[in-house]
Amino acid sequence: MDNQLKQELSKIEIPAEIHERSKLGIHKAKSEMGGKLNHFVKKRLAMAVVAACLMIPTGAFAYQALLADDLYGSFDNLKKHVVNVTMESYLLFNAKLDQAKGDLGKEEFEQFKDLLNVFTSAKLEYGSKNGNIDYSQVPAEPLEKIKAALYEIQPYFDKLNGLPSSKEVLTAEEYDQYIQALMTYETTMAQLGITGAPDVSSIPAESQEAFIKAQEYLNYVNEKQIGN
Amino acid sequence: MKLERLVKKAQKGNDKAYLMLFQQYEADIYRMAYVYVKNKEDALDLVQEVAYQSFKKIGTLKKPEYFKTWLMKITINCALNLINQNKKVIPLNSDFEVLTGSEDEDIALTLSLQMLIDTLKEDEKSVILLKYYDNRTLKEISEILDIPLGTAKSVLYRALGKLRQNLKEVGNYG
Repeated sequence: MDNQLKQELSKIEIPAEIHERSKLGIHKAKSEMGGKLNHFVKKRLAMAVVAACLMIPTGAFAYQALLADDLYGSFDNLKKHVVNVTMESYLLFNAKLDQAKGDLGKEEFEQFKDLLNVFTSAKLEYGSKNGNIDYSQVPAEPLEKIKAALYEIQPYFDKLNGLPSSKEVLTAEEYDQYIQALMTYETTMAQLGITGAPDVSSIPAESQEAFIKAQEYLNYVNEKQIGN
Repeated sequence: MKLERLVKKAQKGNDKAYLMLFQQYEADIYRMAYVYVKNKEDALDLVQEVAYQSFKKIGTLKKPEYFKTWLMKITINCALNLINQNKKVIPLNSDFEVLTGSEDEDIALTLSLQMLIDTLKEDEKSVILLKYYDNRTLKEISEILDIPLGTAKSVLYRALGKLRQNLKEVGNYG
């Protein structure tokens, strides 16, 4: 009976278009999954942008009603440097810091805050009115310093975003590329003077390719982080 | 590449890995589907549907070694759904279809396949296919189809009985 049934079934001819149909089904599923993933990436990038925008401190630390005041002195103080900041985004950032304090534990949080401080002079000096840095305009020496700080701080951002640390998920080489991609992304936003995800067609042709590559790499890392 | 590796990759959303994996089973899926729906077009639709549903749900597959069985289960469910949908549609040209369908086929060759397709009810087909095409034990079949073990047994014996009965009748003519 065993072999007989298999023999009988093998008489059913397999049409040539069967591969095509398998592909169609899988592609349809993939495109629907892709939608979800993109949404996630966008959301995450938006959070990173909010954090990046607000990472501008001042020297004067006034009485701290908000955690964010610890870094910026006060909202008014920040407003002087970052024209496009709103009270809403400032409070949102404060909430993010509150969460960080709870999530990271005291010592980690102190380290995190120290790293944020490393950014500060650079942001103040090179940041656009949205708080983004055009890294192509930064001299080599400070650029190295900023990059080193980015290296250290990215795992904290990952943690706050509820993702496994990109530094652990990726190889050293891949991690290097990831940081590079993040910088390319920010540079593009600074050059275009925008705060949201850039529209590819609005980017000048000569830097379009680099941007698309960076964006693809960010997506790749995100997929890897979600997958693990 | 090994099955487990491909399943893991697919679970991370890698569609190329999943296509490689799925194509190893698409012929089996097509043949099983054909037994239920009895025509090429619907069977092809089912292959596409199974590819779609299985990749969407690949994340829920806990043990990669059960991948084939899991696919078979999805195939059976999709086939039954399609049959139920089609029941609501009244075929206007059924006579015509039967006529063209049997024209160029060798009757002697396809007789027992036809017998399997035509004489068994859906639940009997499921049990027979899983038992003899996928080499599942009765206990596994009862789990895959979500039916009690006793039911799986009685469905199997009823199906075998029908097939034997038909064989005898065919023998009488021969």
